[in-house]
Amino acid sequence: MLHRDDVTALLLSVQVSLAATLACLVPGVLMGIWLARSNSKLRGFVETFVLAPLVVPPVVTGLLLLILLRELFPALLFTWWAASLASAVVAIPLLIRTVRATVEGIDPRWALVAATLGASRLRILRTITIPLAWRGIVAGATLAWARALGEFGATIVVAGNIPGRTRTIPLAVWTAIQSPTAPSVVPLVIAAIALSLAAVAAGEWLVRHQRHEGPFARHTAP
Amino acid sequence: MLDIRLRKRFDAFALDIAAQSDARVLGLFGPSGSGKSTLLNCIAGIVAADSGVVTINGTTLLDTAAPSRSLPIRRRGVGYVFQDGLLLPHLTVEENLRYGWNAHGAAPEFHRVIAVLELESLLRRRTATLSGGEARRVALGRALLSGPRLLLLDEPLTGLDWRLAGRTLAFLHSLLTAFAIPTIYVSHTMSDIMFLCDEAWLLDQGCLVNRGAPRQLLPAAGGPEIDDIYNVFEAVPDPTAPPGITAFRIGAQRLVVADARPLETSPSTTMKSLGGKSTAILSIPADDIILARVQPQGVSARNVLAGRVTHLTHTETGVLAYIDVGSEWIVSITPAAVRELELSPGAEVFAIVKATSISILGK
Repeated sequence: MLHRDDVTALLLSVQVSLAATLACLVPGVLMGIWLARSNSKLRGFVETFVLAPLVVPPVVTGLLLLILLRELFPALLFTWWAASLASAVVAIPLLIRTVRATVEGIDPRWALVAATLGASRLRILRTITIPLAWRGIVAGATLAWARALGEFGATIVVAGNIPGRTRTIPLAVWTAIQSPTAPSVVPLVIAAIALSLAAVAAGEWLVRHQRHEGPFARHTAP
Repeated sequence: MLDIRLRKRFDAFALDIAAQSDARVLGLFGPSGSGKSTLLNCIAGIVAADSGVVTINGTTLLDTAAPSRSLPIRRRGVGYVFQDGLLLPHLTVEENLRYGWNAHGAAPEFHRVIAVLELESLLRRRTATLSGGEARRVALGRALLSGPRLLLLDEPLTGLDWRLAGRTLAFLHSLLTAFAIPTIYVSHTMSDIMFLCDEAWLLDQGCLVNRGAPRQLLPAAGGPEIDDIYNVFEAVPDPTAPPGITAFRIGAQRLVVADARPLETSPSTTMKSLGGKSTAILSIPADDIILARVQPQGVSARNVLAGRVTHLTHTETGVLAYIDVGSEWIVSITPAAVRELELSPGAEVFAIVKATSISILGK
């Protein structure tokens, strides 16, 4: 059976991973679109920078975040906000990469047609790019959510391992392994796996059942 | 008045054109890679010209010397119809049509465009379910509804089978007649340019090599183009034709047509409406017309029209005879035939056309 602390860790994990995903969404989608469409000379540099958390060890990312937060928002350290921020930073490259790949697959001439019809950049984004990239956005957000759910290295550096406040599932499992007297970790591990699979399945379902026009299109077709 | 002075250099290609035109419908003709699409893209602002000016009826669309006078793509007011239509795949036909439509702007009335292009029955359809011809009509309607200063049509008939291309040509003709919007029409066939355009420019390797009235320009177009000419023209239905016979009038002469299929398939081109004042658009291949100096007797062909040669042009592959039978037709013949029939401008001839050689393209 799940221990009371396990349930707390589970709920906290859901809270932190959802907050991280939501925080990723707007900047991640916009950055993915920008990387796919921009001709800017800065693109290569920006791309390396935003995708770095994919290859830099999470502990190192956490350390850099720790230094940054200590200077700018010290009050956030060792709170679930810090855990969410760490998860978001580590997860956002997955969203960016997926969105970029999807947008690169969209014929850029659709946006040009819209421009010749008088559409502003914002209207093109809202009525063309985002609806056509909708599947990629959902897929990328699901990946980011799953990554945030499993986040360990950066989280423990900036948020610590405080029961009930910042101890998410990976930290709880890690704590249990450290202590020979702790109750069995198996139920929590099973719950964690179930949650992760449910997250991926939910994403798949959304991709498959959501029509690709996304949330902004009006449905007038029969 | 359209004023174009544009330079654009790519790695292996340079566009360099400076010309003005007063034509309402200007045709651009040239082989692939001659710069037709690049020219349209520069006018629309999709490709940035290296230098140049584009003005239409006094409005400056582009002026590289004074960038503040240049308009961004969305304010240029060009209705661009791309080769493949490029309908927005996630929207319905009606949503596509209304995308650039501004009821309060200079845009034409929505229902009038729908009527001319016969789009009413398609409005609720998804774009993926449209046929090639339907998709082109929707793309035309969408461009028109944005209230453009200038229409850019990039080979709107390419990729359609012959019959569908003919129907679309007929729709284009009604549209350009009903809405007098300055238009640049790009094509790689001269038959449609001769029918639709007041003036044609021949482009080659990024340069304007010849310009003039499309019919006079045909020989200069040269090459395989000459072997595949269709005479496309308007004709009035003949109300005195016997029952069961589809016939049209060209001047005082009757033209009997065996092809009545499009009349059945298109609501506005039923025999009833054709019996009124409306005209039909017919097409005859230049190869399918036979010339005779004396009126033939006992021929199976249903049509023998009297006419006169207006001029003859020698091309690489033969001779084009321009004849006036009440409408000007181009007939493709051999130099030997010209010699034996002693054809020269002013010569009286009879044009023999099988009823099955004539197609009705639309209203």
